[in-house]
Amino acid sequence: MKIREFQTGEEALYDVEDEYVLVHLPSEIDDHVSRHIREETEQLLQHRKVKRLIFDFTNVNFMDSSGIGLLLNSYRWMRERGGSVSVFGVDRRMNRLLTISGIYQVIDCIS
Amino acid sequence: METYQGQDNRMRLEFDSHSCNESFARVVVGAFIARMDPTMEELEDVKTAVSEAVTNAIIHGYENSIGTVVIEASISGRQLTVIIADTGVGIADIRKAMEPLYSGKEAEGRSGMGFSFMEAFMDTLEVQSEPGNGTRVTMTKIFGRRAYE
Repeated sequence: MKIREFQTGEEALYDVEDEYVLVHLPSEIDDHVSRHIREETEQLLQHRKVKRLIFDFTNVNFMDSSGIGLLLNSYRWMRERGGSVSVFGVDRRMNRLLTISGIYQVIDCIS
Repeated sequence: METYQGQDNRMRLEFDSHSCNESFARVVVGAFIARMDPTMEELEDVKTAVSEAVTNAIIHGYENSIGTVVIEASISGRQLTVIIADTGVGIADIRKAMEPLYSGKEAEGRSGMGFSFMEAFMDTLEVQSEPGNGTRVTMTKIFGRRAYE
C-alpha cells in the first residue's frame, strides 16, 4: 500500500504490509525532515501490529544526527511492542555515520 | 569583484531560526567552500557539522521562539573557520551538553549526538556560552590533507 508519494523531496514514502512497514527515506534527513517522518511513522504504527520497521536509505545523500535520533526513537517504539528495526541501502558515507553513532548495536543492516 | 581559487575569503549570513533554514544554511556554507575544491567527504563533513550547530541554535538556543542565527565563515589558505552564533538561552553546563548521548530534549526523540558529530567531522570545535547570553560554536577544518601529507 502506498501511503504517500514523494512531493517536495523532503517527504518519505511508506510501504505498509501486515507485519512490516518500509520507510523510503528522502534525499536529505535533518531535524526539520526527521520530525515529520517520526510523526508519520508513529501514526502508521499506532494501530497496526507491525513486527518489523525497515528504513530504506537508497535515496539518502545527506543525514545529520537527527537521523540517528529518528532511528533510536523508532527502535525504542518497536522494542516496547516486541518488534525490530532494520536499515538497508546504506552507502559508504551513511555507513560511516551510522557506525560512529553506535546505532548498529540495536538495529540491523540488511545488505 | 572577481575571486580566485586560493584567495582568502570570508562570508556572513543571518537568518531566522525556522527549522526549514537548516538546509539553506548548510547549502550556503557548502557553496562558499566549493572554491577550495573539497573532496565529497570533506564537503559532507562540513555540511553535517553546520547542520548540527544550526539545529542546536534553533532547537536549544531559541527553543520555541524565533531569533536570529548568524554564520560567519572564513577561508585562510587551506583552513576553513566557521562560527555559528545565536543570542538564545545559552548553555549552563557546556561539558555536560557535549557528552555523547546527552540530550536536553530526549523526550522529543533527539539522539544527543550533535556535538559528537561536530567533533568527528571537523578538526577543532570550541563552544562559548553562558545562560541568557547565547551560544557561539567555532569549528575549523583543514582541506586537502590527503593530497599534501
